[in-house]
Amino acid sequence: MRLVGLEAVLFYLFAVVAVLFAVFMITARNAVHSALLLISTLVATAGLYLLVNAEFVAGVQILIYVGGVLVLFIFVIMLVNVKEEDTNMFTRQLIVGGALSFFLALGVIAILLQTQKGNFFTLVSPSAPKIEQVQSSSNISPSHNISQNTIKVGQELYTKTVLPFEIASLILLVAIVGAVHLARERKQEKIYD
Amino acid sequence: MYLFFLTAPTWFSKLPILSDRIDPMVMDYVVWPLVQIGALLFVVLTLIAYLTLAERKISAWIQVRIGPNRVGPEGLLQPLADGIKLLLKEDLIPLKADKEIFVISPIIAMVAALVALAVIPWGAAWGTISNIDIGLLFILAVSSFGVLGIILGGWASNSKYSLLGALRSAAQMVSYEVAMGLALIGALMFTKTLALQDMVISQERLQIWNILFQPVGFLIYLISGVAETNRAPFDLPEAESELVAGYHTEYSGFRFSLFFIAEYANMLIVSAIAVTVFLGGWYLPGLSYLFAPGSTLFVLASIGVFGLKTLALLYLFFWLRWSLPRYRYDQLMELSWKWMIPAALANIVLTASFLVLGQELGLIVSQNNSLKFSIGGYVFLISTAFIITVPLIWIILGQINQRSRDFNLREVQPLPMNRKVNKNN
Amino acid sequence: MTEITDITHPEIDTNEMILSMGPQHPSTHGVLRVVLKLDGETVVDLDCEIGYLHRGVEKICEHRNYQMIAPYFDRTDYIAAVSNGLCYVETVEKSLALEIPLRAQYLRVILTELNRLSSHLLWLATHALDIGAVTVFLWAFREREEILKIFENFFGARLTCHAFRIGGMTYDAYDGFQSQVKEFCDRFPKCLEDYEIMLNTNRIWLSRTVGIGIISADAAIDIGLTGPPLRGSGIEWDIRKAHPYECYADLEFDIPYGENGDTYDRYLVRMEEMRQSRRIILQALEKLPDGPIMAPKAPKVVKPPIGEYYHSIESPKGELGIYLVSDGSTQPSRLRIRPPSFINLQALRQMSIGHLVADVVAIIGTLDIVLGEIDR
Repeated sequence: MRLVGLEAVLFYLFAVVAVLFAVFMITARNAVHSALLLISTLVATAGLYLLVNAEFVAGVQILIYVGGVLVLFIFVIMLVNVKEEDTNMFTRQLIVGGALSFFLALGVIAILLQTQKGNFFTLVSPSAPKIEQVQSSSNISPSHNISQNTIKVGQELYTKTVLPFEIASLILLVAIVGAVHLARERKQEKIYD
Repeated sequence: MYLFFLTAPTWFSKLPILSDRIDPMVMDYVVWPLVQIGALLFVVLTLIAYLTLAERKISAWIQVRIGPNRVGPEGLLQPLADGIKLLLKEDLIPLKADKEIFVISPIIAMVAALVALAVIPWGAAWGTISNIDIGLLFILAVSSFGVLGIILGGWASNSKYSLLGALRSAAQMVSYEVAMGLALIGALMFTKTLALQDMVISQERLQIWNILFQPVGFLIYLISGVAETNRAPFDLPEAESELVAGYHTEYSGFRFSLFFIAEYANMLIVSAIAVTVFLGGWYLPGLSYLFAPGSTLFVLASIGVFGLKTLALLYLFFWLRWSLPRYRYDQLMELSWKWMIPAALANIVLTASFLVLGQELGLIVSQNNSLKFSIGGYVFLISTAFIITVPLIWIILGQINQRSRDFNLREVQPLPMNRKVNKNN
Repeated sequence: MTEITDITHPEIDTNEMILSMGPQHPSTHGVLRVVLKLDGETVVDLDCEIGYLHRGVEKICEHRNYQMIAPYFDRTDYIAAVSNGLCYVETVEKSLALEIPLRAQYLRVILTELNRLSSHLLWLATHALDIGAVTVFLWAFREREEILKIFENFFGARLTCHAFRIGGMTYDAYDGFQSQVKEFCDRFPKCLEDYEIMLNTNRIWLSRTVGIGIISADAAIDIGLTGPPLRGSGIEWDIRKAHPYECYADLEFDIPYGENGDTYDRYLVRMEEMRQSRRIILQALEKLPDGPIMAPKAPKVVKPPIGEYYHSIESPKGELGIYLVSDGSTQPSRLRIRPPSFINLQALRQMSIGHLVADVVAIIGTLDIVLGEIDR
């Protein structure tokens, strides 16, 4: 599908930023720089979520991924004090790896073209709302809308997929308890005994 | 797609000089937000500068001193003098520090703080720049982004102790963010929306401030907010008399002022959100009788009301800093994980139970994604909040912390005197 | 006593870290270097390095006349200068067996107790400041200003007063002395109440001081603690009651003592001591007799008989003692000061082990040390 107007600009911006910074992240020498570039990639991904009206997922992406997971990553990198990489970037393995990934990419694009069946190049349907027709969510008369996205996510998560949800939280709990147990030293156990 | 939310007043696109040359659509959707942003940034940055003066003056009056009174009448030009001084200082970057990160961390901290200003409902109608549907989630996400600025600031100082201090600061901020988010959920159940302007409107419709429904939530939010912004009594990681230096040790001049602006902007945002969610935002019970709702005067008056409430909470921040001693770091973390978070969770459970109970009893009706209360509903909710929720949460906290040393601190007894004094050794 | 043998080349130990606090540090109350061995954040071992303020006072005193030595004592414990001066002149008077006129004794007691008040106010200010209560710091200094004004009016100096002379006092009470002191004492209880409102039942203060830095009564006696650290552990020992000097025997006052030997008890003990000092001052003001202020038999050239003399007083920090060996000449053969802060500092290690790093600051504050006295 072909995007028009501002939407296209933003999409290409976010997409290019995401891919480019991912490449930079892999090739960065300093581990902290890598983490920061990963943060940029994740923020660009959140932007992409916003473009498909999944604003709840976008907000949660930044809150959890950037504010939680990446902060912890950075904690660990800083405490462990990972040294800078000094290796030479251009080795013989790079050429072989490059050739391999080129052929893999060709294969993936072929499969995508096959499955999308030409949907890449159709226009947006003319009945989709354009920017000019957006109703003002006027602040004089309240709209009282939780975004449809939030409602849908909430409803699905807590009714249809509640079992995987609970299992996921249990797994996290087990991980936390295990980590605390491993980190405790002998003498602390003596104090508790 | 819903990228733009119109908040421009009707008269703006009809302004005489510009309406001939610029398309009214562009006026409403492009020029007006730029005007709003410009005005907001100007007002907020000036306010932050004068907040530093207010802090010094308030601390002086509490401590029986006068405070700055040399620069300008009553010291009113002091922030200008401080700003000029900081700008003129030498720009130092430590030798072995990571240059890019050293430069970027105060920027991250300040941008994260200022971006959140865009979604706060400073007033009715066009008093907010952007009323996105996930307003509250956006604010939480952006403040967790600001934690990064602190960590990177400590890292860039190239000193083990600064790094440890910064990491402790960050751990503290993250712990209290959890408590803040949970405390807000209680109020969300009443407003049924994440959009901040709609929260104020729901309080206006119900003609009540959410603090009456959620006293515990307000308290938890306020305490966690003080801890989140690393203010006293929770400022051990950056206190001067401690061994570990804070994250901004190596910063001087303009970069330091960026961290400073970020800290005060964070305080401003925490106060503004507390006012929006719990204290009714720009809504004051008699306001719609004084001015026609929707008129420009109404909006301006509502901005004034919001400003007064926020300033009151900011005064509370300053007052707390100069009255209370400092918590030790482990006590501070214990307060978050063993007191604030269980209380917030219990608050959510109890609030939800009483809402469901109210709906069963017919006192509350939920229609069109909004709640409607009868008089009985109001009485029921407010009384259960104060009579049942508060004591119950206190009991729960007591049970959880039964064996904690801090919970069992003794009361003051008068000292014994003069038992007998040995004359021989 | 110390297990931290080599501070400059510590062994690389993955669990324990050696941290040096000072000598330039806002909370060590002077130039004190504390080397901490930490396990995570818990203090495992502690060593103090002193001597940064050593000026050789005791050696200097061996080459000065007795009257010239007195100002040196102001500079050892510079906060309780009047008290230190009192101890010195009393030691020399003891060696000479001089009788001091009653008026001089009462004036000395009033000024020494005022000094005790100003020293305790400074302790309160800095201790509260270290723990984070900044406002109490400024309030206490406001009261201390009044006392220093009284000293300035009396002696001409605020801090290092050279207050007393061998045989009595140089200056008599100035006009308005009694009314100024009385006015201060009338105003003072309200100020103490203000401090107590801020701190006594404040949960944060209690969290930071209750159970911190506990020392048992037996350990306190073993180390030789004196003053509020000793009384905070429950031992009732105050030299003003045990071996009364000056006119303390005629004055009525109580000695507070604590029970648990933690920081909070020492805080309460010192607060109550301030109240008792005020009581002593008011009584002494009432009973102040007329008369001479200098002993009639005070010699111009001071030559104590050959012998060894020891005299101690209850200074605000503890038992301040002076051991004087005289060989009959105008200069002492040996003058040894028993500094209370030096001996109280020995307890720092025992009190801090097992606590967190942030508590060490509170414990140093509660011992109320003055480096001038420790290093001399």
